Amino acid sequence: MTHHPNHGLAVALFAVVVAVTLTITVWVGRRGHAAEDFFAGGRDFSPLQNGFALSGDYLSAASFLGVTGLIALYGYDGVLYSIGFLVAWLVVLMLVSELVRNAGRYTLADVLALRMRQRPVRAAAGLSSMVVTLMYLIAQMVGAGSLVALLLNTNSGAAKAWTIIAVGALMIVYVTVGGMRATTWIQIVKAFLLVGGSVLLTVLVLARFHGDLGALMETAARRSGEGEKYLQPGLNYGSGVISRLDFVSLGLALVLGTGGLPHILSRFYTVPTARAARRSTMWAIGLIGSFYLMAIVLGLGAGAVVGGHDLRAANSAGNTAVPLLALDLGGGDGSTWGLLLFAVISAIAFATILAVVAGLTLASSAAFAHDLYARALRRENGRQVSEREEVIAARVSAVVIGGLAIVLSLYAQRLNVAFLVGLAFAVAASANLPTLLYSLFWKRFSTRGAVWSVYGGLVPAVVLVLFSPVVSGTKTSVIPGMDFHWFPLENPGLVSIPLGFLAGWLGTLLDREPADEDGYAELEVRALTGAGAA
Amino acid sequence: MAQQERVDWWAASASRPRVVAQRRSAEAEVPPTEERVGGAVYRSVQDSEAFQEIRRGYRSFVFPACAGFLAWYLLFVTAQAFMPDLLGRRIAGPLNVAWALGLGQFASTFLLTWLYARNARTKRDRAALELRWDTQDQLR
Repeated sequence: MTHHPNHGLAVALFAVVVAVTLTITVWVGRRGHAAEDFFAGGRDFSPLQNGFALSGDYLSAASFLGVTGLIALYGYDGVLYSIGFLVAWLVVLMLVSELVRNAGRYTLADVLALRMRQRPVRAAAGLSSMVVTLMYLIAQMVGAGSLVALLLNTNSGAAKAWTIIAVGALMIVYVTVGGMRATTWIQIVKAFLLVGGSVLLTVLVLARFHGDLGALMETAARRSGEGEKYLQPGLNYGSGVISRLDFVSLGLALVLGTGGLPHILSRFYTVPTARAARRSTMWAIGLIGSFYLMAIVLGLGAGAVVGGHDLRAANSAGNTAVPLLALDLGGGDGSTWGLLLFAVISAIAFATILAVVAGLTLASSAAFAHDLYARALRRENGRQVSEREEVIAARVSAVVIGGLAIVLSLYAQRLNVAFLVGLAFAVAASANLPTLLYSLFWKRFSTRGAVWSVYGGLVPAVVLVLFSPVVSGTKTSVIPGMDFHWFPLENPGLVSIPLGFLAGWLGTLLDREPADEDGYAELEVRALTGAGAA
Repeated sequence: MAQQERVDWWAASASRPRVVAQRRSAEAEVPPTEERVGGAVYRSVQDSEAFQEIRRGYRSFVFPACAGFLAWYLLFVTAQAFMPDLLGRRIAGPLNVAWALGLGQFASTFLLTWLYARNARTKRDRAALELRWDTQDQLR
């Protein structure tokens, strides 16, 4: 290993991040204890604030460390990830944000329940939302474990395990004590730090190359050891037919998945109107787009300044490219500025992970408490669950979900982080998005169609992954010793997303019970005008 | 525009009590008769010319725009997978076709965001807000 920076400063800054976020949680959490406060942050955030919070929820460690690392190592192929992540926001902006804000209250299932029989659709949508958030959560926590271990320069399993437990415990505290309001403020602070840190590094990289982007690209290509191929498609994804199809599958999952992510959808309930939801999405697109443009410069900068050889030596997946870039830009190992910049960037990466897991846990506990516990699991004419009980159930379930995520993450440490995130996107795109779009735009869509569409996307997505090379059959699989795979692609999106849409259409055709026309009228009028919106 | 925004905010806060009252009734599982009244109101609003106009304004922009950017994105992704030679061709300096198309995706996303916002602001925001108050008055 070429770099052995002193990590004392980084650890101190990690402690500062934890202290600041806990202070925010306690301070903000004291205000308001109604369900509206816990699930929707009181619905009084401004578009700018929510735009930052959306970016904070969306830009996980997979973006800050993963995408920049991929760009540093594979050049152009790394850029492709960031394009899928950004273009997806057009779906959110035009088809989802305003309509969902007007039609729902706390969760995705609220929108469906307006026009369907509520118990079956809440059970289906609540379940799939929990599956998506749990997968996403495990990805982030596994990432946190290996990240902190790498930054602290220990590669011991115990250090990773303790990091996962600590991150899990912190996120439980954020959510149970602070609810949506504290979680939103943590996202805002984190997004601010993330964008600020990226701007600083981008300016330093550009200054190093005197503003000459061509020189930056050529130096990165030369030092990657791949030459011309570095700037062309195909370095990472290869050239076989299967790997190309896999790539298209991932691209589809990325662009359609964002609109079905529960923790993104629930953000739109924190602003007062649909207009504010639109404006917050526009802020988010501006922030996320600028971030990914800077990520290209940072990735190329890491390739050019640190060099492909040293990056691979520090972490074969390139996950430490940005912190190492910061170290070199500040003057290298041993220099005060280098160590300071390294520590600051590492602390920002840590804050990123903490904020994202809090947002995910909250969305998951809302799906459980609001959809499953308070409605789907009740008898048709049974006692109503009060709002107070719903919030208590959400707090308890946040603890349970957090604990479950900790345990699963400890066992999932062998899984690749980017793959898990890609899978969460694939499930969201297969199970959540078809149902949501059909409900909003198709007059004839019925309860059976909604239920089939959720399960028809969820089950194939999960089953295809179980029988893919990710789980068995290759040396890098979860179970390397066995081979029961028959599905060739790693990402199921190409098959499971069309299946989700197909199942919704088929279920509607085969439903003897006609669509609820009054319900659709209410949904449509409410979604487009805001009449009667929460 | 800042002024429009403020108007909107006022409108939202002014609506609070009404919305809360309605939510309570929704909580308490509205009895069937009242539900039918609400349903009839929503049906009549849905059939009204004003609403059809708003929906047309929304759909006539959003559906073609979505079809357009999804086709452009999928074309871009499949081109990576199946036409790597074409994309590797250099245009100027280190810049090749692949990079130009990729940066084009960024540009088209920003452009479409701006166009959509302009369309919503000029074509339907005001009408939607008016219809909202009308509908909520009828629902009371």
